[in-house]
Amino acid sequence: MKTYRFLHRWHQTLGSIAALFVIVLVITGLLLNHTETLSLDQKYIGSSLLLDWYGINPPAAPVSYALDHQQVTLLGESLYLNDQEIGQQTGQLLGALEHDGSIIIALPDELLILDPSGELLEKLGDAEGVPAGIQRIGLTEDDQLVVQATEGNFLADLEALSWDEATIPAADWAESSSIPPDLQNKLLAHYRGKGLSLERVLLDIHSGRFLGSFGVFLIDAAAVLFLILAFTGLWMWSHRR
Amino acid sequence: MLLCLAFVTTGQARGSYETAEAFLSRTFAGEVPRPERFKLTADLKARIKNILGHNPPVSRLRYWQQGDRTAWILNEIGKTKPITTGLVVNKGKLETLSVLTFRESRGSEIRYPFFTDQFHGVGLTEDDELDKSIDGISGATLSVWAMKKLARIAILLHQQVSSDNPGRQSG
Repeated sequence: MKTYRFLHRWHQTLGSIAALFVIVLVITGLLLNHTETLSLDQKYIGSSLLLDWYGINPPAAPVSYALDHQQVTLLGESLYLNDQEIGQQTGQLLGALEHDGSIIIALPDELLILDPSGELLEKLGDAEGVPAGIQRIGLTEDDQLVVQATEGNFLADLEALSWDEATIPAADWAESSSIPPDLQNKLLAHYRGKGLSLERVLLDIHSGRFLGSFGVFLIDAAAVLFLILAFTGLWMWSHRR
Repeated sequence: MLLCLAFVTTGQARGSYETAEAFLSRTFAGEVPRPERFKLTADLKARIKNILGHNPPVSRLRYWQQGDRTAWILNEIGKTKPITTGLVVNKGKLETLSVLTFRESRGSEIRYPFFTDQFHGVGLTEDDELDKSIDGISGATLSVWAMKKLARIAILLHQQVSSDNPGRQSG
């Protein structure tokens, strides 16, 4: 009888504590069980607090090139024209300039041609004869596009797709520039906006990893607690009067 | 037989087999015409999207035309990486399909004539399907699908270029 009362008292106390864990685990578990239906992996967290908690930031500072009225920027691996994502992933942005009414963007192994609205018109790579190992792009005095590559300087005729190696005495090379703070904040928000899915956060809450290794031990402790409640509950049920 | 070939060549995947320059030179017997630009209309983008299963990555393409023949260099992802392919269409029928660069780790068997020769003389039905069935290759299913898609697109583009420039076809 004494043991029964002792266990009953502790069962109630531990049960109240366990209830908090049960509520969290049940809610997150139910949601995760329907990840695909609810498209949890397609929903992204916008809270700065959570994004900071997860350390979602671009791996490097943005690289940006200013055009007459526009700005081409690489943030993380995403390319942007102003605040609009171009839809091209790259590790390096080597230059951007306006030429013949189009925007030319130089990447390590290809040139992108965009119209002024940011629509990607063409990607020119080795199949189109673009010199390998692009280093920078510029314009000659008579407004010809010049590509500096590993093998030298090449005068490019994008209409005819010809790349003539030439000695270029002087060229106006595209130079990277600072990015206006407003634009940088917008791009950062955009970049971070797709960095953390709701599914990730729910999984981490469910497993305890949201609080780091401490959280994992906490959920372990909760699991032991559930086990104790199960045993004490069964014992009391079998010894009830 | 096809299966045997697939096993034999599994280890030799990625590679550049022909440059675009060499492909064009071979196609036009050294007299490569100046490339033309072709801007995709919204309707054409929708038809290409229907073939590819995704939006076309660019909205303007280059092609080379001489008389009734047009040559296209197109890319499509097999599994994860683009396969660069040269295609020649003559009077609405595919004349040549050549794999120029293959970047995937498996499936490069699509470059062999036993596969590419099947595309010779293939046309397009009204619903943008190939008018002849193409045999697949075990272990290269995704690459085969990519080639069939590019073949359909090249013929479709050729038809558009021809209808845009009817006068050029007879020249």
